[in-house]
Order: sequence, then structure tokens, then C-alpha cells
Amino acid sequence: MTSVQSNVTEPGAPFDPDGAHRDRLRALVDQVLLAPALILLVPIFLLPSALMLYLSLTDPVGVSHYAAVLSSGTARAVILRSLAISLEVTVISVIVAVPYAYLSVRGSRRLRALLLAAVGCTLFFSVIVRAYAWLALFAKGGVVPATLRVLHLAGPDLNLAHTRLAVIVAMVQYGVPYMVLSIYDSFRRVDVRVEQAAAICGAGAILRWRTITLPQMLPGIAAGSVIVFVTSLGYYIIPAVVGSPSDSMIGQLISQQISLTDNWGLGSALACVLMLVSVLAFIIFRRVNNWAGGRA
Amino acid sequence: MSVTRRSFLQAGLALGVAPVVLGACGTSEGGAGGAAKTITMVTWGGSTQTGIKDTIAAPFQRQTGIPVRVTAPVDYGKYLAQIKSGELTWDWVDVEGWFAVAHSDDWEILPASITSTTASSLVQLPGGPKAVEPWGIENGSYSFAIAYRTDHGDPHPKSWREFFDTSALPGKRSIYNYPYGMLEVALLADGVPFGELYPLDIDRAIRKLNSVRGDLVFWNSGAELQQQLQSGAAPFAFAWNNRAAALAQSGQPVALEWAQNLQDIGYDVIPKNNPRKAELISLINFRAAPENQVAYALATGYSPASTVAMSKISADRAKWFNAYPPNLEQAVGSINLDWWAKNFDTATSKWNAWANA
Repeated sequence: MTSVQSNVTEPGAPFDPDGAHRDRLRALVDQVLLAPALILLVPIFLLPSALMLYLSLTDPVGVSHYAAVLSSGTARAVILRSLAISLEVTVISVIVAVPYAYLSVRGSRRLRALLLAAVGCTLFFSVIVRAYAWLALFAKGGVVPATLRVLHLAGPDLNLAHTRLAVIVAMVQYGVPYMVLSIYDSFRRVDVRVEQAAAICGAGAILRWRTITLPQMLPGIAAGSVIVFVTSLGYYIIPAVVGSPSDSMIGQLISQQISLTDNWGLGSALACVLMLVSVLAFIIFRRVNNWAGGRA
Repeated sequence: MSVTRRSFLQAGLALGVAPVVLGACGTSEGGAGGAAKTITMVTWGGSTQTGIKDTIAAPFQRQTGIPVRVTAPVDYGKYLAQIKSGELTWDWVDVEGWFAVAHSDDWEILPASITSTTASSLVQLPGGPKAVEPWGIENGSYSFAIAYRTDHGDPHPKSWREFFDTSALPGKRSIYNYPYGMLEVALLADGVPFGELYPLDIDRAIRKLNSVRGDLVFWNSGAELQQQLQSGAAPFAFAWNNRAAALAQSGQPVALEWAQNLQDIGYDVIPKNNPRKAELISLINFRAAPENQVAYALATGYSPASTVAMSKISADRAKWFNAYPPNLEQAVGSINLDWWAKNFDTATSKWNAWANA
């Protein structure tokens, strides 16, 4: 696109009616290329979302469901908890993924293949299977409590299943691959010679890391954080399986309105609030990303 | 409210999105023409699902040639959406008694041939709901009882008061993350006599539960209940008798305390305007036959509805069933379906507000 535009707008370029024609053709091609995505998104995402918004305001008519969400201590607590858990999961995922992605880019070819294969592998396992696997690992007598016991860090009755810790660990495991792939993708385009030049100029390892490497990872970190934070917010299976009711997140609250108490209006209102919070998070991360991109 | 719900669903169906909104609940068998006679049975999963498959669905299909599909789990939201939109894909659903009563207007009136012939021989729960209604017929029963690990050392709770007395009998309590039955036992523990339970004082029950919150672990499904008893995550549990019995019969150190067990009933119902009504009536008749009830009861641990079937179960197996006369005698009573039919939403909202906090 940019090359075509530059042909037309280049100062001193001869008038080229074909250029404008090519532009229109290109725009048409772009629209055709977008069509499959739109055909998929409009009926299975946009229309149901619109219907959901409609239902939240019409069943009964008015904003009573939103008032109920705002005035309900439970809804407020669960939304704040969802935000807190998602933030914790995102931060921990960054801490785990940064060195991992660094080694994946700068390590030997064999190490890179191994690390990326390990990340890729986890994407093949269903989240339900993983949630139940974590439950078995954390439950009383499971591998985690048994290991802590061998290390004299816990007694025989330790049961980590159905705890906040279990929820966070299981969700981090889900988030890290997306964070790694995102950081890896942006960091691998960074020229290694920038770091070498800094080293030649006498910058130590810490200074190089702080002023060269980390800033160049920031766009990847910001992009990965959007994905991890927003997907974590809407999480349903993991907190439902490995958490206790006091770890429940907004997805579970919505499900209770729809499946149990037949209150579709309130459920839809909660879902709209979730969508709004996700969009806000997306905008904030985009701002951070642009700011980081400006600095890098 | 239902009008907007219906228009929402119809708009969704028109746009072809309802299967997505409703979680794609198997419309594929609709197909062209006569293939639409497959009966879909929906239950709660686990050993109940396997039991229904092996002792109802498969033999019924062999006998009648009507194909039967068994899926899980029950989701009242999906089911009600189907009933309200008139697009039924779930033909037989393993609904709880209160749900059958709450939506009794949505069920077909059953033919007298079913309701009159079997009525006299059905298990009658203590002080409880009618075994036969014009729109439904008892399909079995179960009980909420105290399950405990026999290797725990200390004595186990022998009443709901002791179950909630965590200072006298320390140890975690595994409870159902659902108000149905839980509110009753919390009030019994708080000193309310069974005769004065209804209308349930929801807030008082939740206060009682909250007083031992630190000692509670929650189960959401029969499989979770079994896992918590099996791993020893809790030595004592508020349990479905059949799931605890299954553990005990498979050799786990688990037993049931029948004192003050709380009984509950289920009904077979047919949603109105179901195009497979004739097939469903054959299915209900098949389920009513005592020999089929025995097979189903032995596979799932739910008591048979028929007293004839109950008497055909050998004593060593029968003692695990809630309808076994000595266990029936120890029952504190039965769940009041009419109260739950009217108050389920309120009770569940209050419960969730407490549990999710």
C-alpha cells in the first residue's frame, strides 16, 4: 500500500491516472480479502453481541440491570477480583516470558527450537484437560503438596486445590505461551548488533539490558499483555475447576445468571460490562504500546 | 420478560446465530425428513450418564428401534430457552423435582394409561411430594446425607447439628455449592425443627453456613464430591447418597450416616409441543417397567420409583438406597418442591452472593 501511495504523492512525479486506478483496484482487493473475516465475525460475534446489548436493556426495558450490577456488592467484588487476578496473571506472565523469549531469540538454534517447541506444545492441550491436571497436582496428596512435604515446607494435610494460588498458576500457564510468542515475534526483528555496539562502547550487562534490550521488547510485552489480560478477564473454566467459589470470576457470575436463575437480562448486562472493561483495557495497552513504540 | 426473550431467540434463529448463542446444542440430527426421531436424553454426567446409557438408552433402542443419544450436562438456561423458543432439541432432561414443579405449565398432560396404572406401586417419600402428577411421574429418588471417611479416627457427625459443629468435630466439610438442600440442613443444624423449616429463612441459613466458612470446601458436581472424599480433602461431606455409596462399594474407606437424611424425588416430564411425544411416551413406559428400574438403580445408585423394583434388589445392595425402608425411616423429611419452585431464583441469588464473596 505504502509503495503505491508514494508513487502518487512523490513530489515531482508525473501525473499518472493509472496510479489512481491501481489505488482503487487495490482498495477493492483489500475489501475482498477482508470478506472472509467479516463473514465470520458479523454473524457469530457482532450480531450476538448487539443482541446481547439489546437484551440487557429491554428485559425489562431500561437500565435496571446495569443499576443492579453497579449496586450489587457481589458483582462489584467479582469484577474487581477478575481485574486483580488478570493483572497478577499478566505481570507474572511477563516476568516468566521475558527471559524465555530472550533466550529463544538469542540462544543457539537448538535451544531456540527446543524452547519454541515447548511453548507450541502447550497449545495442543485443551484447557479443560489442563485445569483438571492442575487440580490433581495441587490436591491433597498430589505432586505439589507431596514435594513441599518432602522439603519440610508443609504438613501432610496441605491441600492447594481450590485456592487462589492454584487459579493463578493454572492461568499463568495458559498466558505464558501467548506472551512468549508475542515478545519473541517483536524482539527477533531487533538487530543484535545494537547490543554489540553498546558492549563495544563499554556498556555493562545491566546497562545494556536496561537501555537497549528491554525497551526493544516493550512493544512485544504490551501486545502480549493485551492478549493475556483480556483473555484472563473472561476466564471461566480455570477458576471454575481449580478455584473455590470465593475465587470465582465474572464469567462464572454470567453463567450463573443464564444457566441457573434464568436472568438473561442481568447476565447480558454483566457480559456488556465485561466487554466494556476489555475494550478499556485494550485501549490502555494500546496507548502504552504506542508510547513504547515511540521510545524504541 | 419471556416475550423479549422469545423475540431475542427468534431473531437469533433467523440469523442462524442461535446455535452459537445457545452453545450449539446438537441440531444436526434434525436433518432431512424422518431422521428427526432420535431422542436426546440430557443428564448430569459421570456415573449417572453411563448408567442411563447402559440401562435405558441402549436397551430401549434395541427394543423399539428408536435411536437415543445421551449427553450432559443439564443446563436449565439452555433448556428453558428451547422450551420458550419452541425449538426443542433436548427431549428428556434429568430435571430436579423443584424444576419440574416450577415449570409444570410447560409439560404435556400424561396419558391416564401411564399415571393410573403405576400410581399405586410407587415409592412415597416421607411427608413428601406426590409420586404422580398429571404432568409427571416419579422416576426415582435420592437423599442428601452425611458421608464420611471411615479412616478419619474421630467420630463422625451423626446429625446436621454435629456436621456444623466444627469445634466439637474438627475437620473440613465438603458441601454442595448450591442452596438446594444445603439451606435445609443449615437450618436444621441451627435448631429449626423440620416441621417449621418452610418457608426457609434463607438469611439465617446463610449466617449458619458463614459461621463455619473457613472449614468449608465446595463441590459442584458428583465427580467433585467423590474426588474430595477420595483424596481426603474433607473427611465429612454433604453428599448425594448414590455418589458416596459408589465410592464405598468400590472399596474406598467411605460410609454414609443415614440419620436425618433429606429425601428428594425426580419426575419424568414431556415438554409441550415436542414432535417426538409418542417416542417419549414409549420411553417413559420403558422406564416404568420394574426390571428396567432395577438395572437403572443398580447402575446409578438412584432408588427405583417402583416399590416392586426396590423389593427386587438384594439386601446387601439395597442398604445403599434412600428408599430402603430402614433408611426411609431415618429420613428427617423430604424437600418441599413447591417452596423451591417459587423461591429458587431468590435462594440461588442469595447463595451466590454469599459463596462468590
